[in-house]
Amino acid sequence: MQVHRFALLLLCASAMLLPAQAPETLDVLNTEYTKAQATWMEAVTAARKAGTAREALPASPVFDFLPRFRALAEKAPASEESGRALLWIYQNERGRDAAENQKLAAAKEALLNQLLDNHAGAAFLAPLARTLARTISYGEEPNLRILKLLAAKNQTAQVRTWVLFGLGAWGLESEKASPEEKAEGRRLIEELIAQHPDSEAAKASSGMLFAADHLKLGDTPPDFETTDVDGVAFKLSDYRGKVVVLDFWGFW
Amino acid sequence: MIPDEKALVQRLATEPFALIGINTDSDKDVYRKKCIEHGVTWRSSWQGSTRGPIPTLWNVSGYPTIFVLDATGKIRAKDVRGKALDAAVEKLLAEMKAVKN
Repeated sequence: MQVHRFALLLLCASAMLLPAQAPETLDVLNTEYTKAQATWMEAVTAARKAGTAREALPASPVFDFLPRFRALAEKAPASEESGRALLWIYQNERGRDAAENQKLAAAKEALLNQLLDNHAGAAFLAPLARTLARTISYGEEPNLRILKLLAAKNQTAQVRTWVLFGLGAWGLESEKASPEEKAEGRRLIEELIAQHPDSEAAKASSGMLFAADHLKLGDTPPDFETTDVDGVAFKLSDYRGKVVVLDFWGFW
Repeated sequence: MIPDEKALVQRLATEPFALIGINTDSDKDVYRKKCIEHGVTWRSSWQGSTRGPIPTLWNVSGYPTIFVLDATGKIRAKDVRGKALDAAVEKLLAEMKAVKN
């Protein structure tokens, strides 16, 4: 027991005397952040249950981690590590209130441009491409501009699948798309399904062509046969001759 | 949504009208119980999840998603709720009557 305690003491002392820790890496930082965030979420949930006011809830660990991600981003600006740190900052940085968020908007745009200037061809941009592609109907600009830039500069399959998905969805679904852009949108989705059939983007796009072909105003959708909760079969066409409201819903 | 739809179904009970659900709940017993609780009397296709075959084929990602079909099966309105849904249905019913007369 005595020996163990002595060894522990030595260990602590040597740790304190060590000149500097090993340089921080993005993977270590990410792991640490994920842990801190989980702990924080638990604390917030507990505080909410206890009726804590919104203003008094514990602050997100984002604020403590931002300087560390920034330091990594600045260390070797051309490196992938730096780019991934920039992406983290772009995706996670936020203000403490609405006014701060507003101030951040310009800085975020600059950050995004920096990321695209230095790393436009990198595979690690896939999560960014995914977000842009999936939200293209909400924010056509700048999503469209950035996805077009990635289409020109990024050859990685990870990013390419989401570029095809986003630009394809825009062409097929946007009211602003010209007939030529609509045709191009279809071509992109067909390319996605043909060339990357197992990708998440291809799977998410499977209904898009069906919707473009059969579910526009004025289209007559193909009939379907289905069963109700009791296993009784019926068809959509059973209701011909009636005005039909078809409602996709759930109680959950 | 459900109170509006219940009112629509009751009001148009004698009209050539049908509300058909494509239900995406996962538990049949909970679904049956809640239908009674909320007065849902109309028929739904049972999909078992939002990834069921019809929502997947029809590219449905938001709920509720609504299509209004006329008597010939043509899509005439999409994603209308509340008063706009009522108006879309009434318009198509009026069209049917105009054709008959």
